[in-house]
Amino acid sequence: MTIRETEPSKLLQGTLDLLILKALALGDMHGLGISRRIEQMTHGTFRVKPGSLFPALHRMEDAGWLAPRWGESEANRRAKYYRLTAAGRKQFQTEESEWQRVAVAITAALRTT
Amino acid sequence: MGFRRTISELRAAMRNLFRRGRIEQTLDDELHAYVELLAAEKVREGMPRADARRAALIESGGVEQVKEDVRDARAGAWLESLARDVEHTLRGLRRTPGFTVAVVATLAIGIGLNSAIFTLTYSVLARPLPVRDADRVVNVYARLRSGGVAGRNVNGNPSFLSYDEFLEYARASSFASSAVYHSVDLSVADGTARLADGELVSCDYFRTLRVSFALGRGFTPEECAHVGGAPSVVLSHGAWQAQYGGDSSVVGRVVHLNGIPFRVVGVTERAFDGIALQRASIWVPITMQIALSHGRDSAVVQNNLSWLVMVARLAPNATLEQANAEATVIGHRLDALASGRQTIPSVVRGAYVNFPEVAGQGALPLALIMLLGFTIVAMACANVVSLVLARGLARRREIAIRLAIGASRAKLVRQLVIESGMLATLGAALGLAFVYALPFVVRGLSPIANMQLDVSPDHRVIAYVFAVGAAATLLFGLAPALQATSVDLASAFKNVSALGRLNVRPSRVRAIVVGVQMAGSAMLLVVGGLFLRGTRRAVANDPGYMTSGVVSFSMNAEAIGYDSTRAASVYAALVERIRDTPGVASVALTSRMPLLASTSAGFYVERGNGDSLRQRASFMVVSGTYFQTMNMRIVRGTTFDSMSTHTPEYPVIVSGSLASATWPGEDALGKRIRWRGAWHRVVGVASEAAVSSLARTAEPVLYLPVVDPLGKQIVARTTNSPAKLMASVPEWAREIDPQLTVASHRFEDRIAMALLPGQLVAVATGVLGALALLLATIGIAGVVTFAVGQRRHELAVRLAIGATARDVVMLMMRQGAKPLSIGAGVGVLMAVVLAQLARGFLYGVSPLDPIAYLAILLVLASAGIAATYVPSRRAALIDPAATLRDEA
Repeated sequence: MTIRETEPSKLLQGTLDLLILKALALGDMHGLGISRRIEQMTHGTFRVKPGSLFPALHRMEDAGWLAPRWGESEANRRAKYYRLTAAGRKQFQTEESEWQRVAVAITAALRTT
Repeated sequence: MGFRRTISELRAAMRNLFRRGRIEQTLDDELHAYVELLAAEKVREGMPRADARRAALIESGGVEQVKEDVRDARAGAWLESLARDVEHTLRGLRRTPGFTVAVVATLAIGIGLNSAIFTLTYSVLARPLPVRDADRVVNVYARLRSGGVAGRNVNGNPSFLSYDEFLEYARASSFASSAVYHSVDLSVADGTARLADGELVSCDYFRTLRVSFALGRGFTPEECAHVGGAPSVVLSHGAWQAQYGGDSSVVGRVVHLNGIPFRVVGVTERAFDGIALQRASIWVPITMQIALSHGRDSAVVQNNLSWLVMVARLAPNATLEQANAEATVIGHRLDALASGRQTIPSVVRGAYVNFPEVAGQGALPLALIMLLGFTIVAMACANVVSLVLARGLARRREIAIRLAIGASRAKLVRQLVIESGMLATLGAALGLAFVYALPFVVRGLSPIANMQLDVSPDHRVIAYVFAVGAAATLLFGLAPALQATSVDLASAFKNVSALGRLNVRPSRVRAIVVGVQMAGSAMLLVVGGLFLRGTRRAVANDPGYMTSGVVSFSMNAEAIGYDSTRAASVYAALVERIRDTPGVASVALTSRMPLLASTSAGFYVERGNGDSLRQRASFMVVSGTYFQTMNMRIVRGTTFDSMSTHTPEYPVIVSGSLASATWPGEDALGKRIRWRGAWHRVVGVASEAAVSSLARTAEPVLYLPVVDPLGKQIVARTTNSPAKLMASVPEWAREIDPQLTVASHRFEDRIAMALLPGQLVAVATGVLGALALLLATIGIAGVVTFAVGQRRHELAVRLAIGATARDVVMLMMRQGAKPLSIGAGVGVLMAVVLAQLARGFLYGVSPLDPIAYLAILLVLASAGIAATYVPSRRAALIDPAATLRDEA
């Protein structure tokens, strides 16, 4: 499933941001790395294509949540790495707890008979 | 948090906008690194290097597409795309410089002229007065209903007040303070004599207008407590600098005004020149009015005289409505004192010219001026629409291609509107230059010397200019945008003949535009033609007297208190000296010069059978040599004797028109006229002369002899240069009495000034009309060309079944004739209405003058025929066989 092509539902709009924040919370990473890490974390459910990944990264960078830097990748190639800023960390916490709240509520709602 | 994010995004937006080049480069690097890494990953998984790169590119979904998505997601994306559109538009406009220059110039002229008209009207009628806190300053007027007007004397405007009336209105609690003023020429003698633009003002004048003083003070209440109070005077900053070199000891000094000593009490601040259109340089208490006229004029104590402009400052919490209500109550109270009088007071926002008549009768000429202004802008827009449409057709393919490769219609329309907006903004900016140049033009042409009218643009004018620009954008921008994007893709890609099957709307729009242009040009050309005929006629008409070499001199003898005897000796001395000057043909005295002021009077004439008949004529008081001086003739009888006292019975001279109208078929000589209570005898008949207007070359005129030279002008005709004489006479007067000042005028200059407005209108409307006509003809040629293409198939069929070439040409010409003739018809009708209203400027040329209308219609018709014939001829060149084969 890819977010860009199938656009599962409006509910999942915020999820990409949350997943990127989570991926970067584990350590600085470049675009392809973030994409792969999300794939791992979601056991292959989300495969983020560049068409959605890069717009999201640049939007978050403009919002001040991510800070870019150029660095050497594992294969000795120059790549743009992203790092969570303090604001980004705070945003991650907010979105995470928000997600938990929604998830609990939705699950509860679906269980009612 | 939210706030910090907004700040961060704003910063990012700025960065994105201004460092776009670097950011684009970074994005490019980032995406290429991504593809490289992806490829490297695939190589590690065992794919051959060449295949890996290709696969990586495909999997990334197109680097350019990703870039586009990133751009859309970035902060300030809309701003950035706007900037890109602007950039794109600029590139496009640079590619077609001819089009750009034509559009911008047309708009600049249209918007500029319209704004200049607006600025002038706004400056005269609505601009706040040049004083502190001008928004609280109001004018108070009192109009009299027709019944009460009969006995009322007017000096200025009928809505002005008398001094007593002012004192009543001044009591209104809505006014914090109030004052009146009246402009008056004062002879100032403080060493050298000169005429100054003075004002009689009431005590609170300076306080009401919040004028501060460079030196001294304003008038104290005691100084104007009663008529004939203290002779105090306040000077303007300009007069203080010019006449006293800024000497600070001027306060307390004595100056002679009209020969009477006044003490200087103050000098106003630099910026203040009064609040009348004409700058004032000296102010005296209104209570000195009778003294200044040497007792000849008692205006200040006359109760039934309109002569004072009232200005007031609203009390802190008072509104205009309250002030009006209070003034109405006071008006009623005043009406109760005089039977049959009905006053309609009005309190209005302070401005130079705002008396009730402007709102009433003045509204029509004003509407006319505004209509002309908007016609000018509408014409400019129509011209631009036709230019843009013509280009729209040329760009049809470009737009079709862009639509085909996925540009959205909305985006294209936005781009076209941006293009129109930029053209209009450029046009408006250039138009604003017109407005900034206006003060210099006005200064050059102003008929009022010393006019302080401020026509420099203020924020309202600038807002107006850009509002007109925005309206113009809508007018000429939207229609072509919609037209251009309603392109049928399939046919636009085929060749021109396929254009024929497109929807016909574009050509309809163009036909309407052409009709509007035709209407506008017909109207402007007819009005221009009428004005031109009017001024030509005014110049060509023989007014019945000589204008070249004629100079007039007016003197301040009356103002400085000369009596008739003293004046007579001065006049005699000056006349003699002028007569003895080489080149001077003749010298005379006159009450006024022809055309420059108009006075007419009613009188009774004696008929042969003994009864008397009421007559009306222009009248002039002249000396016997006047006719010779003006190069007129005495047709019958004699002229007046030299200045001598006459018995109660004067000799009078009548113009030929007056003689034939009063005593048809009889000899006028010896007949009697009753004038101001006494009978006078006709001694001569003068040749015809245009006295009240250049429109009338023959009119009834009554000439009376000069009994008292006081207040008369000296008029002389010289064959040498008048300039020397004009400079000498004031010198000679000063030699007689240093207090005497003389103003010299060249008669020709003053007539030219009177003709100037009509000439300006003729030139402006003529040029604009010709421009509009040119564009209308180009437009109609385009419409017909288009129609020939569109109906090619039909025309081929017609030709094939036997229509002659002439038939098809006529057919196509008829198609073009419709918008042209409808437009021209509407335009001519508008011209008829306009011309009726502008009758006064036509110098007797009828508003329905057949020559002007026929000439313009001829021009319009031949332009129309030429513009439709040339493209229609192509219809005859159609080869039916080839066309029908192609189309089949």
